[in-house]
Amino acid sequence: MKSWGHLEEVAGRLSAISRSQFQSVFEKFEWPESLPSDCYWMSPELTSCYDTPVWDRLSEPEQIRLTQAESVNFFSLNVHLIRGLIGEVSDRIYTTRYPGLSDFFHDFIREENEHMWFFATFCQSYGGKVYPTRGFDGAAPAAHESVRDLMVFGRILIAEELCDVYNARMANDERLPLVAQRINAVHHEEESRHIAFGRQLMTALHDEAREQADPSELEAAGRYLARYISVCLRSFYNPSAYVDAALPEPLSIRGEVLRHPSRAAFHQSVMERTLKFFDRIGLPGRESIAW
Amino acid sequence: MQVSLERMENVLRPHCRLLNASEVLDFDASLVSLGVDSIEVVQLIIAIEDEFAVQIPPRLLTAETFATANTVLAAVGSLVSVSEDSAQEARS
Ligand SMILES: [Fe+2]
Ligand SMILES: [Fe+2]
Repeated sequence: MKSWGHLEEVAGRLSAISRSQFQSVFEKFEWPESLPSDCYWMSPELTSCYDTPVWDRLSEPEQIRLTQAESVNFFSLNVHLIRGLIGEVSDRIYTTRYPGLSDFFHDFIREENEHMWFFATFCQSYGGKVYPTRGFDGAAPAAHESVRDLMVFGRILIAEELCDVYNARMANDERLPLVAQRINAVHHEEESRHIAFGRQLMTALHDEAREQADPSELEAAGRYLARYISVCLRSFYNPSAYVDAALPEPLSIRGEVLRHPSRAAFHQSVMERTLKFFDRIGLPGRESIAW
Repeated sequence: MQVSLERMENVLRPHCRLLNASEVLDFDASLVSLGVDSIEVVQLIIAIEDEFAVQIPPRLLTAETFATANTVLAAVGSLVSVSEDSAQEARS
């Protein structure tokens, strides 16, 4: 298949760039002792309550505290997503199914390991913790290997593209502390390579699945990824963050904001780019996403 | 507040993707076999927390807690009675 050959070529090129731009992650950031408590740490427009009556009810100090707790929540989500994807990629690093990609996978794991370190360092230094995940790991459902990998790498691509929308918007948001801007900027830059690879891989896997797997399996994979999108979007609504921001009635906030139509519209806007790509390769499932 | 079987079933049912509307929910059946996989369980956790106004602590976010409807009921029951106790303490 043409798309597989092209994949190796793309991976080789991306690895070369990654190696030529290598700089130790320990030298990439200056970590202040503490961050100012009177400024946003995350763009307010990206917080889970924005554009809802909950946001309007909050005092300015409460809004600021929410951006701070949610910056730690967002970076914590990244930590857990990376843990999962390093596992999946290392499971495949020397399998016969992906010959020619081992070098790229090594670079990918190294970069993701570094990302996990800077995200976690921010969380622990300024938030005092990495928020735990609100679920537990599970394998993708049994299917033809092309379909199973389509689900696994589809999940990775969805998470990377979604977080990248946030990173890109915050990379130059001067309302945020420099270290927060810089983390978003560095991650946005390096993720552009992972996303380029992820899209190429998804195209190849989808071609393979269309040739070799049962069409009903492919449809089920589309619905599986649609459910994953809903779950990913909801992980930004963490009651523990509302508690830490000392918001009034923290346990009822998630339900209230998720019922507000502006949130569904926001979800659609941040997933738009990824869904357009899925449409382009012909992956089904978009209509079953619970926004 | 009480965790009645009916209320729990109302929360669980939409997440049991492999259970038809006409079928009885067996509280001892494995939730995985009813379609509550690792993705659906995240949605279920949110639905439970919102319905019962509790937060499920990380120690309870395990496959054992979400093994069957009955194990979920037991876990949520313990949280609801704890939050009732603390509300009562706050009142007295
Ligand atoms: Fe990353
Ligand atoms: Fe990545």
